[in-house]
Amino acid sequence: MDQQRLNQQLILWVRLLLGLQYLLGGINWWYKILPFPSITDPVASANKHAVLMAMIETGWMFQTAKLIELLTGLALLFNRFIPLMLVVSFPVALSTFILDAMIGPTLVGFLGGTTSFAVLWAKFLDLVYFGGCVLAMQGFLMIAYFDRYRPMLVARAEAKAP
Amino acid sequence: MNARNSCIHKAGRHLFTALGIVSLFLGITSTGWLVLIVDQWALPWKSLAVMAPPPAPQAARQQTPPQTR
Repeated sequence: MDQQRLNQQLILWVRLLLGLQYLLGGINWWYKILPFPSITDPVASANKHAVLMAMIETGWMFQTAKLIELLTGLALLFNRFIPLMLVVSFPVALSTFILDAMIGPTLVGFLGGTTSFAVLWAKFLDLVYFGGCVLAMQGFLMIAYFDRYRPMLVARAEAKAP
Repeated sequence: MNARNSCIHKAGRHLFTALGIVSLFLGITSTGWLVLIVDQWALPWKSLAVMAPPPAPQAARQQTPPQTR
């Protein structure tokens, strides 16, 4: 298989996998199918991060993120408005990654001997398998669709009144 | 100049393929795991415990919050 065909296949499969992951994450908020926070879970039980609790407590912020996940999942699976939805969902993917990537204190604790390797390993797996995985797939697809973004990357854009 | 551009282009294509392969591997394992734990039809939710830090001795007596992402 030549490299161009391989890349096309990679784009197709990564698109479907990311779409499925977003769709499951989005559906789970309204219809609980996964052990992650859902609309039916009490706020007090939700969490490893105070940030997440604060988002849920606003009553709209987490819902919006989940709606974006749902729409992005559908867009990726049905190949509709993909470049647009990748941009719209990027802040969600980045925030999820940052939340999962907060392993600094654990790393410091491990180096200082106060935290066990098991704790560090658990945090690392969480970082790689959820936030990191989504960000890697999202980044890969955004590079694949980079030609669609090129027109936006002008320093001084002329506005055109309707 | 053309040879240099071609070299950069080639390296970029290889990097793109490498990122794609890493993304595909992570995507299959991560999304596969998520699909398998949907409604616990193939794997129990507690399989995610591998990513939950073991509770500290004093916290172990309290109720463990659910996994979040």
